[in-house]
Amino acid sequence: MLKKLLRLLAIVSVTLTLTGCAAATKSDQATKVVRIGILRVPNDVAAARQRKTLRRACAQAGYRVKYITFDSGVDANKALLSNSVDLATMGDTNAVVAMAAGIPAKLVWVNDVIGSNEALVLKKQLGVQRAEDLRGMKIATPFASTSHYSLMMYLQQHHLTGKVTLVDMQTPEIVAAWQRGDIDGAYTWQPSLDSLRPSTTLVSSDKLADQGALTANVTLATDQFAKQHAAVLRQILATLGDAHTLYQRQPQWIYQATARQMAITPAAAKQQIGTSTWLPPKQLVHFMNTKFARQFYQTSKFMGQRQTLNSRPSWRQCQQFITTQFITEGDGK
Amino acid sequence: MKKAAKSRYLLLSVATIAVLLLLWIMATSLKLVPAVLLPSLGKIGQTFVDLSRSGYGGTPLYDHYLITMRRLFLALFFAVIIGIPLGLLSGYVRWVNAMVDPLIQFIRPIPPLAYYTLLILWLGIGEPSKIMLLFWAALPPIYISCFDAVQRIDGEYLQSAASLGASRRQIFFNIVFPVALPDIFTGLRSAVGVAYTTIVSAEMIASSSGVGWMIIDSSHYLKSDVMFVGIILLGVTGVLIDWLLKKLAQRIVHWRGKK
Repeated sequence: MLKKLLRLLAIVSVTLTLTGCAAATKSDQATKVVRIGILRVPNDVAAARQRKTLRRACAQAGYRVKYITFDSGVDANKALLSNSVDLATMGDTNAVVAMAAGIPAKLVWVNDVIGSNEALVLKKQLGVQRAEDLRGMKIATPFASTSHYSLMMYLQQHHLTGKVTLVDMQTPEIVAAWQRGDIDGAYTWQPSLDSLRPSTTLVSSDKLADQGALTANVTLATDQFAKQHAAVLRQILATLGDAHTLYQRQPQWIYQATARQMAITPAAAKQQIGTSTWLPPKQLVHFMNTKFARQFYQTSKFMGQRQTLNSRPSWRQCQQFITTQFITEGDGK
Repeated sequence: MKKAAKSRYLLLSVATIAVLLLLWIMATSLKLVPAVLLPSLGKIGQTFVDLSRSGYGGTPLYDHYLITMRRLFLALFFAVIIGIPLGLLSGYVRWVNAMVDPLIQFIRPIPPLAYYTLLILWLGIGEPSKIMLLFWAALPPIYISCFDAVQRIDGEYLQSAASLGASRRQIFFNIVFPVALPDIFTGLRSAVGVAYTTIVSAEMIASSSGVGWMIIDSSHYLKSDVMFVGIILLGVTGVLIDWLLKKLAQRIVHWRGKK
């Protein structure tokens, strides 16, 4: 019995020390590998990955790139917290969660400002035309996502908070529940959005952005990585910046590259990218320091009020969390 | 002597828990681990008070708790009223066994999450799919313990009853059932255990209530204090239910272990 107790104690102390040490040992092993957490969406990372510019840029600096795919920013956050990735792309709502939870990381890049690729759709036969018609309906959305935030903001704008039932589902479940008739509508993103037919679109995220509820996909870098590998981080962001510049000039190249990466047709990639905005580096720096920072603070305030955060972040915290120091300005040649 | 040994072991249990708690307090108050990974006991207590007062996700904490318990007990209820007769009959009547046993043996080893998405497609996102999942988790242990209990019955009992002119029906209700009852309770206890461990999965998909959902949802926001409150709540309840069942069994089947 005593032996058993001692063994238990040993296990506990080992686990406690391991959680403390894990952070220290991993950084040593990972010196020459960049671990990037990605989402399965046609974005700038997908384009840079397909065009091999990301790999080349890292190879020049002596790094190897390792991609880890996440289904959502929720999982990406857990990976950042356990130091399993160095960089991760996620919705800005997940970035707010990361900041409020005190994950040692910084928001270093805005991949895209979400446009028509996220929207609130309802079953056509319900004949919904105005926000008011939503009363009493059941709407699905992946909780903690940008879509969830957009939906809550939309309901708040129309004084419908608490009058509509929200259900938490991941995108494949939304498609299944829609087909079964379990839900009346959903706020979700591409490609699941396209599978919800026949539907009426009540609002999309670009319209909400115009009304002051902007959402974006962002990239977080762990403090440790940003400090110890600043040069390669700059390289990576410059590569993503090139993709943004290219998108402005020759979008069809981006459609083709992301389509190949995702194994879909360029037309589907174009549809999925929709009206999301990829700002060129120079504009992006300005955007991140002004409009985006304010929106980010607003999002964190809103989520804080809804008691979905560990702490209520201050404006100062937001400013410190968002950094543009790793972005090389200039239009990428 | 026996009593002294018992209290010594009790002391050891208490001491183990105390040491663990002490380590926890040390780790958090000395800030050895980030609060997101391991919140302090004080913070968890505070969160529990806050949740009791203002609820989680717009629903009071006790409602989440009751919703979860309702799902659990409804599933257990169906598992009991279907599992016990099925198991006993299967042990007593060969042709029932031949029909039912393969099915249960097939379902038993499958992890519930593996067929959960299918249940959702069939039954929708409401309560039926959740209760069905817990039901399928709880059924096999009850069935198997009943079946085994009948198999183990001393053949002499049955023969002497039959030679005294008891009908098959009388034998079943007067001998088979009472003899099997202690084992039925054991089966019930393991069924509660299995259903209980499945509860977070049941509330994981397309849900917005229940303690399991609260744990999952708070993990989306990295609110580990809420996760701990939910986990502790489920843990304490689990121990309590098991203890109650044990007491109940002792009361009802007082003949256990006697001939």
